Amino acid sequence: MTSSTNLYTSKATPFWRDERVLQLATQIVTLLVILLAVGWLVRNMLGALELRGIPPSFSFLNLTSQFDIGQPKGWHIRDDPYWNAFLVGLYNTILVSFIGIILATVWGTVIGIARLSSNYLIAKLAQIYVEAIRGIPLLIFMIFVYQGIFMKFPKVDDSFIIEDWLYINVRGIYTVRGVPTETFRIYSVILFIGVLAAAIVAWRLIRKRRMTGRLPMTSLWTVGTFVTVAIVGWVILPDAPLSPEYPLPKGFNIQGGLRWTPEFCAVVFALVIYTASFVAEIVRGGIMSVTKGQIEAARSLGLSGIDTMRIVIMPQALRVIIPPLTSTWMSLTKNSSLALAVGYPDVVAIAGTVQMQSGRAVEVWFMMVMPVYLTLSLLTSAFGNWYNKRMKIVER
Amino acid sequence: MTINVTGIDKEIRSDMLPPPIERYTVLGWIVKNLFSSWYNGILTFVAIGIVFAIGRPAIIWAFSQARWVVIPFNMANLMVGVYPREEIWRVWSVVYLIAGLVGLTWRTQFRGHSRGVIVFALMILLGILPINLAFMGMDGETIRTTTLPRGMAGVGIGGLFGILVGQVGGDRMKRLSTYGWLWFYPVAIFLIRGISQDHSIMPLVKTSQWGGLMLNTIVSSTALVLGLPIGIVFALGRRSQLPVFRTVSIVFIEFIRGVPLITILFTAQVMIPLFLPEEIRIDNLIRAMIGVTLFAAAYVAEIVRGGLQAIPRGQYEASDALALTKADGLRYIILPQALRTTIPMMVNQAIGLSKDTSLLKIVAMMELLSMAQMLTANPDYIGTQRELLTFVMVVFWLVTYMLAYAGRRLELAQELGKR
Repeated sequence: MTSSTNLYTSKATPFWRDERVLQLATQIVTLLVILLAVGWLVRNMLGALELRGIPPSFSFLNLTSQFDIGQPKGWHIRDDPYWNAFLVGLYNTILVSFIGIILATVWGTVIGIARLSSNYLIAKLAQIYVEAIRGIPLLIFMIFVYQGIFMKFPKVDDSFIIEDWLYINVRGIYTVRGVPTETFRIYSVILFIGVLAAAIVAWRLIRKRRMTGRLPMTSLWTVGTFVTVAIVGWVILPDAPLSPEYPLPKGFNIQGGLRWTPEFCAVVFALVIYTASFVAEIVRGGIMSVTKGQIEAARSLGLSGIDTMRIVIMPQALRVIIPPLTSTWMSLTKNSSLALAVGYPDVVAIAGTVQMQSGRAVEVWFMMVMPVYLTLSLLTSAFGNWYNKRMKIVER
Repeated sequence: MTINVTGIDKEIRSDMLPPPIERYTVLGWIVKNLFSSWYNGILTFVAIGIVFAIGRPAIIWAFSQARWVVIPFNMANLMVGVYPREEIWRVWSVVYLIAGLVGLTWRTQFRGHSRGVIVFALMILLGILPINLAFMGMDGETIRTTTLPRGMAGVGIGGLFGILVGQVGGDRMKRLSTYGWLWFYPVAIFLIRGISQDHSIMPLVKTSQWGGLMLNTIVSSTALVLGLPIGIVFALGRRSQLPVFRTVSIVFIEFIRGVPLITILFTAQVMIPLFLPEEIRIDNLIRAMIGVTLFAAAYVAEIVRGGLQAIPRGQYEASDALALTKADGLRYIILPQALRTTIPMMVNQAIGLSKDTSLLKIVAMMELLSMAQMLTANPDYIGTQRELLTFVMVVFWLVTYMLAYAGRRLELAQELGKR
């Protein structure tokens, strides 16, 4: 009977069965295994790099790159160092992502609302668009847009021309460019004043909303103030601050004007068309998530259609829309790396070239490209969290 | 008022009108759905204009200018790359195997298998009838495409066979279909890869000879098959209370999710040889697979984490109350419920993954897209980018459509949202 008494009277669990000890032990063992594995991998890597005569260091960034980057033109030539090439690539990535995000959001919202339209044809078209695009890999779509559309544009000689301000041909899309004149500096000061004025108007209107509970059209008034100041400034200056530079056909090329290269256009076009199909579904889901009772309540309060949308539906729909929308923005930014398939020099394309030339794989991928995207990811998710916190339903 | 049991006579009908049925004339429907207000009318015309502006040139191109002939002539290249043509029967047998498994699953797990019967019967019909050759507008050189109708008939037969086997019914067949899918992957890889260099029936086909749509499928299914367990481990790790596991999982998941797949593929190609000692050489394809698998694992982990979060606390407590160990509790109580709710997300992930395999082109794998691109360099087919890329897009679209369809059926079979 001694054993059974022991069962009930034993004072403490032995340490090899104590859960806390076990947990600590497994963690330490796991950590050790991981550290050993990583250490082994890193040692191999250092050895291999030593063998190839390229121990890890960032000094190669100061070497001349030996390659040109076509766009933006003249920002990087072959005598410039590698780090400059990186910065140009980074600029291109951010440019494409930024423009892509704005256009994809606008276009996706249009499609998403179109899917809810009472017009049968519009709703059906939007549905076909969304379902057709979502099933196609972006990379293939982008290559198709580039090779199948932008590369099949007419030659320079028979460009598609509208008046003298738009030329479309296989070398790109040319439009008017504004060249700053002497008064541009004064004009930029005026624009700054416009921003200040708009900020003051926004602040006053928000304060009015807080004090009185009325809902003025804050964003409309704010933008309106800025636009008014900008137009008035343009008119009162003696010379226009920007003088137009028209594209001109010269020989086999077109000179002057603002040129959008076919690579840039293809990347932005493909990214926007593709991402918009995802944005559309998010917007549709968001609007549909607002219960019908809310709309009926707004109507019975006597709100007009626009006011119902503005004060009742949108604030509630945005709460559902914004979190997935930010992650869609992020995936657009990451997808912009596919631009290298059509020869647009984004940061990944340039990193690939640099790595080929210098053999510096570790530095280029682990220390430069991946941190760039990780930073962008973190910024996006930080924005998403901040917005979520701000818009969260305040329960009383 | 008398009620005539045999039928409704006119007298009664005048008294008891049935509820009005919404019924329109064609014109009425058009007015209601297209021209209900002035702006709807404008929108309708805009939509017609868009359809016309895009559709007309597209149709003119597709029917009079496009040289579709490049596709049937190169079907084998597009589907299997440079896989030795005399060994191609092995790929076909894998395809028949898939068809058989699909048929079996359709019969045993899903409802409404009669549609499956129709689909497979139609495939046999299409395969036997000589119409498809005429349809493709080929003159003379039809020989090269004859494997395709034969294969199609084979798929149909395989599928019908699967349904027939499933007809036996019962839990045994249900289990057979589940284990069939589990065993399918190694069997398929074995069939495609072969045994050894000088084996008489199944000579080794090196991975450098794998290509086309086959390669896409292999990589995406590898990533899913291996990514799922890895993802589950990281999901559990992320929810663990032990800081080491949690930190490691968070770092892994957020790192992979934060960077584009291309950079992962590049890194895998360049870095894996650096990380391993000189003696160990890893095949190009395996490196790409490692990259895609880790990528998939991170996303799967987040999906599984979502599923785990949806499990109420009571389930954990119940498994503790039953004195199950942690592992048993997970295996028998938590994971079955958690994974079931993640099916829609998993299907989405599978779709995304199968689309993402086109990125293998960038690291010089001979998958479908790069085969198409290579063909345009062939002097015979110069200027056929549109045709080939359209074909590739359609193929990918069909693949994703079928996955989405299977996913919907799976959701129905699992009665998601009903329990």
